[in-house]
Amino acid sequence: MGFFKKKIESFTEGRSKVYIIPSKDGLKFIFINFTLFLISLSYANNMALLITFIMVSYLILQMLDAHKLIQDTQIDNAIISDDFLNSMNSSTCYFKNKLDENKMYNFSLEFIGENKERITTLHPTFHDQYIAKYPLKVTKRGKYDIKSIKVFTHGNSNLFYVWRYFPVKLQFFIYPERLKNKVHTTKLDENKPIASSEVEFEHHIPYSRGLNSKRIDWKVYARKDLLYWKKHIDYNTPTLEINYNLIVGDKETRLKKISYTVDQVFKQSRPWKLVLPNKVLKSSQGVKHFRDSLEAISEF
Amino acid sequence: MNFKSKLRKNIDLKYLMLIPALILGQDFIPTWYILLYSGALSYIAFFIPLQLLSLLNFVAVYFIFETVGRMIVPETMVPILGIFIISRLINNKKTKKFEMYPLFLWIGAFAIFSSSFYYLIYSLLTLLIVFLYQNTDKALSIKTIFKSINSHKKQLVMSALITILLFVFFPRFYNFLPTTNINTQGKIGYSKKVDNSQTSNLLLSSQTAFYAELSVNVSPELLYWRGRVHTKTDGYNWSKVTMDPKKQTVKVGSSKIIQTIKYEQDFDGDIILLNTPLKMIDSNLRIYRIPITNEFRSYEKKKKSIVTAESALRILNKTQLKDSNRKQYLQLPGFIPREVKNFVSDIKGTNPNEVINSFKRKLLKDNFVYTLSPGVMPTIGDFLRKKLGYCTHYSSLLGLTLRLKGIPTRLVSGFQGGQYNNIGNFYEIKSNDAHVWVEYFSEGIWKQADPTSFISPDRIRLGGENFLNPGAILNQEQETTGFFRAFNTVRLYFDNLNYKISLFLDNYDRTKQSEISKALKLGLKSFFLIGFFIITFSIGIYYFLLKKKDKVILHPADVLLNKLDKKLKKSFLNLASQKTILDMKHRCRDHAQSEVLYEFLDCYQETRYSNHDQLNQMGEILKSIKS
Repeated sequence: MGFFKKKIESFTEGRSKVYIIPSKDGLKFIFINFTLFLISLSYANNMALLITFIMVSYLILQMLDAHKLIQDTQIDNAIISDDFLNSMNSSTCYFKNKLDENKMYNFSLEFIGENKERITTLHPTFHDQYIAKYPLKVTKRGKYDIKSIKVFTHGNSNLFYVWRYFPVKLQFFIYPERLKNKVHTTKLDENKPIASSEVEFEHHIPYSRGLNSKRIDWKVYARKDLLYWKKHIDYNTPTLEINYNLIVGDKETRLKKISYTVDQVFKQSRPWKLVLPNKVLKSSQGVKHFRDSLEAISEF
Repeated sequence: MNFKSKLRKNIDLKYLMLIPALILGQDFIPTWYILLYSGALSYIAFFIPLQLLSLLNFVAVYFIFETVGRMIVPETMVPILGIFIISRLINNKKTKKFEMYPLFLWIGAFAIFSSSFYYLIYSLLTLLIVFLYQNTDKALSIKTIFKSINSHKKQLVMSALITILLFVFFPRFYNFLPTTNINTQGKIGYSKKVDNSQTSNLLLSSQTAFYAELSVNVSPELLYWRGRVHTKTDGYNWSKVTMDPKKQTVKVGSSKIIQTIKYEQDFDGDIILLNTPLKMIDSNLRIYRIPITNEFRSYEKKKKSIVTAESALRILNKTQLKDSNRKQYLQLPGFIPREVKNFVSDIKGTNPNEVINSFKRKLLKDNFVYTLSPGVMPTIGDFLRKKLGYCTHYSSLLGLTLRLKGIPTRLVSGFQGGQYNNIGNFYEIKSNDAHVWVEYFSEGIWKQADPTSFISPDRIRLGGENFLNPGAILNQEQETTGFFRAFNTVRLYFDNLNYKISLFLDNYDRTKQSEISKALKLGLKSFFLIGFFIITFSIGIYYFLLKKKDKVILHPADVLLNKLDKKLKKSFLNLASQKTILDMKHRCRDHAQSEVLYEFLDCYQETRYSNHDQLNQMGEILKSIKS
């Protein structure tokens, strides 16, 4: 399962040009065709000439087919998820093709960034005849901004390389790899004594609607005629501070360790505070905090 | 090695399809090479190949160069291509990647040499199978082949159309690449030089030399196909001397024969015609004639050419031989061996007829034998001692004898015989029919004498192919029995088709194109331009047709869903139009059979989006639903 799925809207609106050049195999094919053609023409051998003409017609048809294949391509529901590095198995793109809805052609995708740099190339792995999966093969953690997706194919015959760009607006994060470790974490309130009971009274706050009425301090009410509510601290789930500067190792190792710790702390549903040299995330818990923390590590 | 683990589940038909090309190309590649490569290809077809196999190719190439000669000519390049192709195929099979071009290369390379109807059918079949392989994921069966043809009929029709249009309209340019002829020493065939001391045993070759259509039927023993004339001798070997080519008119005799000959081999510029040729009527070659020797030659060396000429079996008009030419026809070597002197001393008479009759009697008396494998005989003395030989040996001996008796003599190499095809009315002359005979000048006429007919009359009566090739004789003898007769008739029909189609294919050249353009009242250039316009126009139409929406192939679960929609037409559910299964269920909510429909949709979800195939269950539910 991937985290935080990001759906690409169907982006067939902006029609772009289809580019086509002969592939490596295609060039070999053309070279052989041309050599045979020269020999047969020089020797006045119509039989061999006929075969070269068959080759030419095959080449033309394959070119037209490949062109049509990419021209008719639509992308529906391309879903990309943020995920930890080296666990990229969840991203899937489903192709829709006008020609034949159920037949998956050998399309590959290339994510292209802001400065026209290639971010990653995705090749389909086929589950069965009908569903193609595109596992993300990103090798670096970080924030990825995709400006366009290049859809390319070698066609059925492998003779041509055909491609087309689809403009998209998409951002995804690849979190650092999780490295199992014992991170030195500090409890936020260290000077507070750990009582024998699990729950310790901290201080009073004015009561407001929605708070549990069982915790209203009736003694204070009897004295002051005001409703005060007792706030407690659960010392079994203490707030942790994950501090970049206190972790041993180089930058990437530290981030990997933090990544693991954040994941673990989130799974234990405990609150945490993240301290990075450029950013401090206040103590909190929950999915949003988890996501923010991971994005902060990936971007750092 | 564990072979069972290497054995493939499905036989790769496309590799086996390459073997017939080797068999069709047997005329120019050795038998052991055919066997070796067929073995290698079948191994690749059945097993996952070993890398060691490609080493075999290098060994094969070494032997090819040993037997054929170290020449870079197209014929020797085929084995080198063999290395490349086989190693590509091995590599493809290992990486499970399919490359199209080695197969095309294979077919194209063989097409250069074997131009026949059979080859055309073979290559088209192979290309079709390869094409189908590419477009089907499943193993090939008859059902998938038909299915695939059906779904690709547009492409197949279009490729056939483009091919034909290109063939018709593409301009032809000839002879801009250098060619060399392969050295075919040791194999029976047309001889450009009568070289007795070099050759030993001859191997048979059933390669078609040329086809000939005659205006009248001629009995086989009279079919002498005249080629090169040899006038210079060293006492054993004969060769050609270029003579002063002055014009000489040959007057036509009584029975004229019009012949159309289509050459399948390259005779080094010699034009082979029925003896005695009179004049050229039509040809796609530029031809000149050497009047002294009555030879026809072409300026260009071209393998596939067609010639129409006139010949007469007998010439009655007399000519005179100039003294300078007479000297050439009486040229003798400086030294005559003792064996020859003894042999000639036994031959009596000075009149050519007497000399030839005496020569015949002497041969029969001394028990000379006709054989293609006489062994190595470097000198004429060896031949006279061994008393074994074939046409070149006997012709050489007769030529020498006649010259020693003062009679002007020359040797003619060509062909004798030919297999008549009564369905197409043409003669097929093969390499096995190659022959050499003697011409002597007497009473103002060049007359013909064939010493081979003295020793082995059957060689002349049956023709070379029928006499030498045991298979051909077998066919003739078994013609009487029912099955073989039918088989032979079918074979004749096929040969006829082969001849007619290859005649059309090879005949379609520059001259034919200009003929067509003239008939259409067009210049040749505008003919080509219109052709290219038609081709581009048809490609455009094809592309337009491609853009039209094709029939969509549906998932079997979707097919059932559509059936359900059809069945529940009245309730307007239109489930197939819904995007998600939740939407579908939502629509079924108020339906009377909602529970059954839910069950159906659950099965649909399982089948469509996971690997649990519940099609049978869906079918049963569909049956139970009332419309």
